[in-house]
Amino acid sequence: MNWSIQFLAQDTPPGTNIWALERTSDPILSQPIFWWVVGTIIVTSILLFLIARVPSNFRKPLIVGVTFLCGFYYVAEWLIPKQRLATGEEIAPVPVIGNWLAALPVASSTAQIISAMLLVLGVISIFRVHFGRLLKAQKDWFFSAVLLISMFTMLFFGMANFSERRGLDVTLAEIDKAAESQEMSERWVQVATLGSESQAFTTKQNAENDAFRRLRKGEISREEFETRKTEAEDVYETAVAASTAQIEAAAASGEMTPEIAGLARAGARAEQARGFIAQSQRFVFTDMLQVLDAATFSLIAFFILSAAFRAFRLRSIEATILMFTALIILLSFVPLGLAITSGLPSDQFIGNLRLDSISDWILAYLNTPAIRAINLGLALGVLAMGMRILFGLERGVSE
Amino acid sequence: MRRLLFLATATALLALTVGCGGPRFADEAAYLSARQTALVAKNSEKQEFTRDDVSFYLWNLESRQAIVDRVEVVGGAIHVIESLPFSDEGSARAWLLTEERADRGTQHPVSIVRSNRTTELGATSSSMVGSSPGGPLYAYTLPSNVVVVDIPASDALGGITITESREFANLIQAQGELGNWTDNHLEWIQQRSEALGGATLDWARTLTEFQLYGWKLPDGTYTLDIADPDTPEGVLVFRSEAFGSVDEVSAYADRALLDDSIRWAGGLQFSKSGWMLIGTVLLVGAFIIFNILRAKKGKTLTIRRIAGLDQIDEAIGRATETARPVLMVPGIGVLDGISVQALTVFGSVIRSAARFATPIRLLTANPAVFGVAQEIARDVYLSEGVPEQFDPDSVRFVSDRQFAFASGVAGIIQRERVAAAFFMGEFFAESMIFAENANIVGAIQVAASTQTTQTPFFIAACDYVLLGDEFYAASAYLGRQPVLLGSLIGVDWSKMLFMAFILGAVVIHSYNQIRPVDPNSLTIEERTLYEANDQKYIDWRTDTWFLKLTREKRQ
Repeated sequence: MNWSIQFLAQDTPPGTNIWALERTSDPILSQPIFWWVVGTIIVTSILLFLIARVPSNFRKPLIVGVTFLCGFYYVAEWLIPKQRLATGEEIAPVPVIGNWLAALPVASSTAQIISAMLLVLGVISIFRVHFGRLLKAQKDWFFSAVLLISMFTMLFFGMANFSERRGLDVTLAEIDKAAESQEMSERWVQVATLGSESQAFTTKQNAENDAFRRLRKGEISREEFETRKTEAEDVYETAVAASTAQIEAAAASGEMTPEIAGLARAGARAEQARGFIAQSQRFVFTDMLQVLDAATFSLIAFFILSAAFRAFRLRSIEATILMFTALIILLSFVPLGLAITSGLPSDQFIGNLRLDSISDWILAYLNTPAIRAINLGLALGVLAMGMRILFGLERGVSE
Repeated sequence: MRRLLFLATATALLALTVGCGGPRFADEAAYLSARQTALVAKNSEKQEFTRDDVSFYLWNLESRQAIVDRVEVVGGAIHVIESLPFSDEGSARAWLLTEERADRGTQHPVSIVRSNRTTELGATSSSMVGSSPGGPLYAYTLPSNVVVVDIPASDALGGITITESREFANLIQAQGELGNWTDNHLEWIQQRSEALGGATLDWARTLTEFQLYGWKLPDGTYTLDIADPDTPEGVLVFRSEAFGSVDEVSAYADRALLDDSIRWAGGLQFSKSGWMLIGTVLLVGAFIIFNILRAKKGKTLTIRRIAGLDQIDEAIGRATETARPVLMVPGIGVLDGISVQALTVFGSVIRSAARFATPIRLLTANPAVFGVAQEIARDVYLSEGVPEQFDPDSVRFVSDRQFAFASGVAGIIQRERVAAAFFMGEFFAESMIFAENANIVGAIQVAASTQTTQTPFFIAACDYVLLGDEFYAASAYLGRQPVLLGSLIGVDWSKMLFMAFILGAVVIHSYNQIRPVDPNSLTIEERTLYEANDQKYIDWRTDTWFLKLTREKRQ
């Protein structure tokens, strides 16, 4: 029992902890992570094959059983009291079966991996719908073409950027190794030079931005701003010259100092960030997708307005109450609305008629209890739902 | 033959696990190179202790973990006695430190450091003014009344080392500047001291998650309290341990901080929320199961009409008449109870649509929900005997990005001019985009959201809205299956329980607020509450049996 929990938690022994395995610069076939991935794929395929071959009358008990076991793990995790170590880490109280709470991150990771695999299903669905439309040149095929091109462009740059960042890890590890053995090479000279430029440029940009901010706030004059800009330029030149001298000295002696290693690390990062792939990924994700997201989000303001217009029409007594309540709340959130009743003294009885008092009362004594009641009902409903799923009584899931 | 094969395998396994002792190496160089390769290690470090001929090698592996080899050196040859795995270098070093301490013994015991400092400074007395991460802050009062306070650092070898000394004009000033006991603490310290029969607080240490208090009892022994000093109800003591001297207390704390197997606080679940929470959840669970069993036995259970659900057939009828599709969106949440509930309701909608051969559009934002939705739709068409009507493209995954999904759904609503729209599940800011677009094309809309922040938007924009737990009642209402009806009745029983509890609490609390108080019969704690309320009443909430149930022991 103990070893299986430890294996699930990937706690010990260290050689088999797949989450801690790192990609190195070695050939892929000699890396343990590769063989772990291959092994996992084979084992999972065999498992899936076996599940598919289960006779249909055993399928329901199998699904219910697996659902119960997986769900019960989380129920037990919540229900059984935990203990805490000096480090603050929570642990399971039963030492006999090991700290099964340690398996929690593994359970979450497994769920994530399964979701990621399911994403392929989603992509296939999108591809089938839109590629079919494109192929048959149906109505609006042009939009399908745009969607497919966008999807594959994003996919390509996202994957390529991920791969490049992993490549950066390898470069950083190589720099660490070179720093340890104090070996300098032509490659590190180039990278360190880039790093020195990038660091000096960041310093210069920070100084310039700071000066510009102060100029806008009126803290410094135009002349002072120009002087600071020139100073920043000078500092940049000096810093680059100093680093270049250091790098040349290191190149001449063939020894990598910790300072050069630091510059090389910065250079490797700058090299990755300035590459075509990283720039393109930033363009399609940050400069296009996120902007479009924000644009869609902003539409909500207009939709709220049109929905409010319809909801607040005085069709019935309830709609009238709703409208007046909403009006009070709306007015209490704008200074002009508050100004209407600001003359009423707040420390006397008449102060209860101030808009802010009425609005606070509505929010605290009408709105909050209603929301709490709805939340209580929802919580009980989801508890019942959870129990039905856990015990295999929910038809949608188990059949 | 099979038995022979089994025996051979078993013997081989036994030989592998038991028969092989630790490996031996001719010399250190051979050991280092062989282990380096075998462990895929980054580097190694040797530690020699005075005891025996045993040495330790700490190996840092490429996988960030660490191995400690305990080796015996006999005539230059190295024999690995045991190989201990650690999750990281830190844990390995901590373990080595405990070994080192066992080897050397405690270097700076608290009592000796304190008496040495008293002599060294020529102090007349010493007392504790506060607690720090390194240990207790001892103040030494000199004959001139000047006070010297030592700031300690924890000594990993068990004990304390002084890092800094500060001078103050008198003890009160020192306490004002360094004493970190809040009023809450001071009150508790007084109470605890009385409870322990006049014990004095002689040692303390502040950790990230715990506060340690070392009490010197009148008989000279010590009690260590491990507590959470910052709970809404004051200081919560998790554990108390007995020790013979202050040095043992300090050594225990140092060792326990390094040792991953020592538990500092137990029963967190109950100490945070008490038995009441677990008891209530179990009771609600029992209600649900009891009613499911009751319904299964054939007991007729009735539920009231829900307008939104009665409109499903009408909405589908209109879609059939106009030959426009029915749209269903199960929210943008992951595959959880909420999405499953939405899909169960959609199962009924699809069934009605299948009967009238009305086209459907079920749009999802989560791949797992998409997979389940497709299976449910296919099953429904199959069970209605019209599998050929099922169009796999009618159940679609649109996007898992919130607003990309919103735009996609809005586009489908506009292009296909859906006749009916069902929005059920977890919705966030995109709810208005869906509801208003469906309204623009004149669709009948039925909505239910588990997010109370979105419910008002749906009420404003949709024709019918299922409020709160009506959403969970929907599948029982539509399917009338005993299991679903039973669980619904169980939930209603639970709601009645909560209502009765709220009413009872209002009555009891109101009575407690007005019941007469005899000031002479009050404890110190009650008198404080009495005085805090202008000597009118006591806030008896601290004294009810119910609140005691929701707390673990408080000291």
